[in-house]
Amino acid sequence: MSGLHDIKLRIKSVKNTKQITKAMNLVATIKYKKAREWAEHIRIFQDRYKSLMEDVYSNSYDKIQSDFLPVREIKKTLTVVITADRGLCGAYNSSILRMAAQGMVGKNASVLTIGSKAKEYFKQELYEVADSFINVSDDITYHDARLIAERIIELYKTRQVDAVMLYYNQFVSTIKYIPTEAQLLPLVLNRKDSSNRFVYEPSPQEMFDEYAVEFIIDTIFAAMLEASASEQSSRMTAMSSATDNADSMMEELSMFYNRARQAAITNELSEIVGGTEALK
Amino acid sequence: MPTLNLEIVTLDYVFFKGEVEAVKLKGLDGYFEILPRHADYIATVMPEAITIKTSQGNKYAFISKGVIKVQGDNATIIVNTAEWPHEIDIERAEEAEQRAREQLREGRVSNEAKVEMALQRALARKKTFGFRK
Repeated sequence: MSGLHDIKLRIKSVKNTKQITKAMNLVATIKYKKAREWAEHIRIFQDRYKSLMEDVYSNSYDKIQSDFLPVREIKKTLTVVITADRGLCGAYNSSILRMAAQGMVGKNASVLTIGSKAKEYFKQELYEVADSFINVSDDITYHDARLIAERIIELYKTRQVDAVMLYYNQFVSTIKYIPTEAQLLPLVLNRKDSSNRFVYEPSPQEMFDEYAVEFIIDTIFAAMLEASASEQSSRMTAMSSATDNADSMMEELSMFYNRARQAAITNELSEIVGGTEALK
Repeated sequence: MPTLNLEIVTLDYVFFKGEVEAVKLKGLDGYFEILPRHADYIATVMPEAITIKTSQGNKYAFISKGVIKVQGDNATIIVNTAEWPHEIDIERAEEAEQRAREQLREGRVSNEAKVEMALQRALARKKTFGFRK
């Protein structure tokens, strides 16, 4: 009879797990919808802002003086990695961490981590950590993006680093995200066809100085939102397959349970029959 | 009547998109108006209650500090936030105004430009709120 009892306990525990994964799936689904909307909106904003920066830059690229443009030799790189604060979201964290770590191989690089998973990872591997930000992935605010950007700009302006690489998961669809590597600093701006002559107010130099900082904040904010949409979609998919697995496991276990119960009954019956036979 | 394709893009969404007859904004040196067939132009815009003139009448909105780009018949305003009059939290704006004024009066502000900008935003919000129907 102990076999029966064991199976019953296992069914119960699988059922509990299923309840948790199902709830997590629901929560992720709600968060995902919101995160996806934000990620899609910020792309429009970022697209317009980049185009504007390129206009300003193209107009007087030979005159604009800025620390944010490629002017100095790159001796040290800062790797910025965006991960989640929590796990249970499939390969979301590990794939981007692997990519960032690979990108640092053979380079003189320090790392700035966003999210607890990145913090834990780079602590273990004994990297040089410039700074860590945690508890920002759940509720992404412009304010957080600004704080992170200001820290990065400080490291760059004080020449502790000469280039900044950004690693995050770019959202594609519910079932797809791409681990992405992008150069944040020095700024990568394309020179546009200079047939468009704009009138500027104030001067391109003043505009560039003012908007470059804003553009860096926006780029980080956009990357955080892309990462968040990827995280929620990844968690949603992971939890939905975990729920499916629990379902098939329960089916299998209840079949075992029924079989074991039937065997016990048959056994008992044959014992009774055997007993009455013996009394005759 | 010639029109201008105006787009106001904020961090959260495309706030406004449509054909307009003119848009009145505040720049570094005071107010200016963008009409159709304007020269290609890029300028900083200050926090203000802006006026969007359409064939159905005027619309008013608050915008934070940002930039306008005019290219041909297309004008794009890029700002962090934009709000219609009915969306404005007037109590918050009043509080922000008081806070900024107090800080300026006491005169021990580390970043005066920042406080000045907060005051301008509060005043622009209050002004926009006045246009609600």
